[in-house]
Amino acid sequence: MVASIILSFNKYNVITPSKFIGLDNFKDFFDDDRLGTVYWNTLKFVLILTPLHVILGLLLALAVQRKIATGLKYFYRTVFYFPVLATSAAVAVAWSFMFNKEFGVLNYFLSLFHIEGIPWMQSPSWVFLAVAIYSFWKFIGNAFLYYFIGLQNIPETLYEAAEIDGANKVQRFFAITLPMLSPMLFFILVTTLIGTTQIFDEPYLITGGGPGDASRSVNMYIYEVAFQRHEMGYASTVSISLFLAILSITVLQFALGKKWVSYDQE
Amino acid sequence: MSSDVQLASVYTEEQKEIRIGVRRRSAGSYVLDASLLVLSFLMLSPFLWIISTSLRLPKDSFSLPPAIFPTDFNFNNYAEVFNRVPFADFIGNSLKISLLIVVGHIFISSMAAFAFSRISFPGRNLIFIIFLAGLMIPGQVTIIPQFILISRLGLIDTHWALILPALINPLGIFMIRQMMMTISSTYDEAAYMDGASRMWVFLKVILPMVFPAIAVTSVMTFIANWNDFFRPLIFLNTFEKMTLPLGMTVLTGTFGSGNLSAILAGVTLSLVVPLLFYIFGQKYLVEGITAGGLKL
Amino acid sequence: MIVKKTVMLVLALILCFSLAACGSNSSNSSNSSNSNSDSKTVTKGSNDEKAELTLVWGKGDASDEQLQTILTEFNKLYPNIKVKRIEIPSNSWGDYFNKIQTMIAAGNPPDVIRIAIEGVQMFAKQDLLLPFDDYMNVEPEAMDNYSDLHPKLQAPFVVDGKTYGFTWDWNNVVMHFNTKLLKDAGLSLPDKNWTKDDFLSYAQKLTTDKDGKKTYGFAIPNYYFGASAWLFNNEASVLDDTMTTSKLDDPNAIEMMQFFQDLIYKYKVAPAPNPKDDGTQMLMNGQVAMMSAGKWPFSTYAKNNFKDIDVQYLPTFKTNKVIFGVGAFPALKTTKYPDAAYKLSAFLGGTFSQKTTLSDASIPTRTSVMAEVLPKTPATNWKIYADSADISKAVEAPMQYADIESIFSRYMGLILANQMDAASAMKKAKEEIDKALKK
Repeated sequence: MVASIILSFNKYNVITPSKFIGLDNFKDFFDDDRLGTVYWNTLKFVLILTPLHVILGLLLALAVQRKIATGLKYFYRTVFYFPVLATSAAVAVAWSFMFNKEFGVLNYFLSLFHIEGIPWMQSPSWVFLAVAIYSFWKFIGNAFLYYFIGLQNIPETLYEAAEIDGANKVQRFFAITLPMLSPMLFFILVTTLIGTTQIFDEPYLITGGGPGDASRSVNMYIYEVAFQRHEMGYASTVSISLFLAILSITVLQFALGKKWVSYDQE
Repeated sequence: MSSDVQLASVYTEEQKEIRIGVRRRSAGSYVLDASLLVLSFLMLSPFLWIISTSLRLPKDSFSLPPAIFPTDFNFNNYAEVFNRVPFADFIGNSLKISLLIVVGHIFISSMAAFAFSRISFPGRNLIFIIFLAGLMIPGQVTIIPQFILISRLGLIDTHWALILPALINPLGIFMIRQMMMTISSTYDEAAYMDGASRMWVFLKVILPMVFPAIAVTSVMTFIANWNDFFRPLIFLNTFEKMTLPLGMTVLTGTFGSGNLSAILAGVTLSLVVPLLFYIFGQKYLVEGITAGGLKL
Repeated sequence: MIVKKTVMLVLALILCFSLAACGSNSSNSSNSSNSNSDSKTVTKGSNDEKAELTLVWGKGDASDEQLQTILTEFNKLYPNIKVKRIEIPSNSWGDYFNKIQTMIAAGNPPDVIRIAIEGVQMFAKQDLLLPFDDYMNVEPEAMDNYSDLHPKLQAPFVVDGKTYGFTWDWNNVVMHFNTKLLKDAGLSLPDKNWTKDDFLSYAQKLTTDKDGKKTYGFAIPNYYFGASAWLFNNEASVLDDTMTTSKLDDPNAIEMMQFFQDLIYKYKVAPAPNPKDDGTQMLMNGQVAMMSAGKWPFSTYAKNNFKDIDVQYLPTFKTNKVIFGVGAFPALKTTKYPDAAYKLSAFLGGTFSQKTTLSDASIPTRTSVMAEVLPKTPATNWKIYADSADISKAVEAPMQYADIESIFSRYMGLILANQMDAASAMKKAKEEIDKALKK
């Protein structure tokens, strides 16, 4: 961390010794057009992927938690969770072929429903949907599993009492399930937020950041600057800005979290 | 909390469902069942396509309609994967790195957690908080100094570049410590009274009691490192040293080569270890999370 | 409770952070310079000197058996030079050079590296390569007849009067045809003077959609070398002659790139490129009928026993200039065994090595080997490979090649995804490239 800050004042390409250049990196930082784009893209990833996992994960867990055969529950748990374990880069490679516009499986099946030629990788908006679909498939199992376990840990007595008080299904959900689940929800929210702010693998492996810079995240940009252009100093400057962004999100999270997360169980 | 869980399990499955709110099978319930089944099929279909296509002849790999169920049984693609790249090395490297990290990480984290929860020394809490602060620093901020440090140590393109930095992970220390804090100090006191050494207390008294936390930390560490793509991308250059995720991206080839059936054969092979891992590891994962090892 | 702790922790962190920021004006610059002691005298090394060399060379270029064959022969001459191969996989030349630079930076540089013309300036201008001239004077026999190397193809490896490598393979960019699809469309191989209009009509006739099987006329070369070839034919180029500024905003360059975009979205004869596309595979699968590439796909054709192939020059637009790229095996300056590295580098560019590795892949660079190997090419029009060596023009690759390649690809991607018109994309690409060239 400290080293990053020192580096941000230097020009260093790893091969030749570093040189102190004062605030030049920070000047470049504010002149860099691409930086705005990659920050905006990252924000879009955060805004799309966080609710996706936090909300859909909960809905899935609630659906599986209903009265269904134990064997079926196990089946669902396996189906939803296995992709989380599946070697990430390998399945991402497979998905990138599925998203092929002309020859991909996905567009073939869509064409059976008369939806023709979706430019998954060519359009700056579809490309986000493509990443969202992949992210749902690959990682929803994580949120699902935590919620699922959280739901099982809610003591039955609470529901019993609520029923005696005449609370209906919806009321019980908001009065019992949600508050009891809030620590889990908070955990998932914080980890997804931090994770998506640092998103790298998904766009790198599936979209390559394209078209142009349309799906390039801040992290991909840091990688490009540091390890392809070998500008370690400037890359440090950018990474510090990302750190500050994450830090402020996290502080905000905890401040707000205090209001709605109940740790009664402790 | 654990007493609540026991209480809950006294209820029959039937009663439990009533509490959660599904009184009788409504129309909506059937719709949900149907949607779950459809969704499961959608979740599984990529795997089916991957496996089926990996068995096709390369020239048919893009033929339409695409295969959801195998239409061919051409296992040459699997041989091709091993011919073209050191695929066995990839799997071996990944296993070696992930397992070494798990072992080293658990060793260090459990001892550190023991120190932070059982031994009082000046500034303990402050040091613990500074440690935890490490949790907040995203990996990408430290990757550049880390890269420079690793390269000064001459460890670029070695597996140590991946293993060493991963050994200390505040999350593991945090989780194991949290569980240790719940253990009453009467256990240690009794052991010390019997003349036990500190090491003995650690190994024989405390460690077995935090097994769920250790199990869940191990499983999560393994998954995270097995799937790690970013650090191998930066630290490894040569083919033979690559991990499976990095090697998979290479399988798609530099321009001029690449063959979908063979690539998907590689993808299929890459699923074997995670599958085995799921079969043996999921129990511990669920138990660990249930036991409350995972609360922020 | 836990929340409180975490808030405290965050506060503690901010404190650490601000402290660190204050104490950070320590500049760790200094001590560069004093490394200019190149004045070693080179004496003739004996043939049985002991050395261990690391060679970076991919299996795509030379399989294990091929390399073994070469090294066995090499060890007959120099029995005590051991060679260990390492492979550095990559997506593009730029990516590959970056990875080698990373290895150098990390302090475990290899000794001899396979590079293409794209990287010569990048490595030579950073003073990373070993000049061979002294060794060439003392041990000329290691070179196996220097004058057999085609002079035009050897030239890129001589920078500022110093020789850094001996050319091994080369490629131009020509049109590859799936001859079965040509026949199905009732077409024959076009004449070597075919024009833009001819090309367009071929592409249109070859674009079909039969029984749900789509075939496109042409796969656009969305990589630097391939695209440069087409730019050359339209009297355009990425850089100016001195390679100090970009010419992508030139109307001819814009016209060419706009034509590529139109092939996809106006004429609909080319598929929109996807990140993992592979033209060779698409041509063999019958997904496209034409693509432009060098001779390298022939090794893939051979492996897949694909015979429906023929080649022709790219169509003439405003002119017809053939592009070329060459490869060689320079040694890094840091090598512990410069003399052995010279011998290996020279041997890999020699007749035996070229015959072993270049029978069905890239084009050999020795006039004698070309004459022997090319007629065996499984394409009737193989002569265009032999004939273009004298007339071709090198791909533009200044010191900042890796940056330029990545900028170019990004904007070409935007054009081909129909997200920007060629004029504005090329204007912005030029700005970025000019900036990169100043570094």
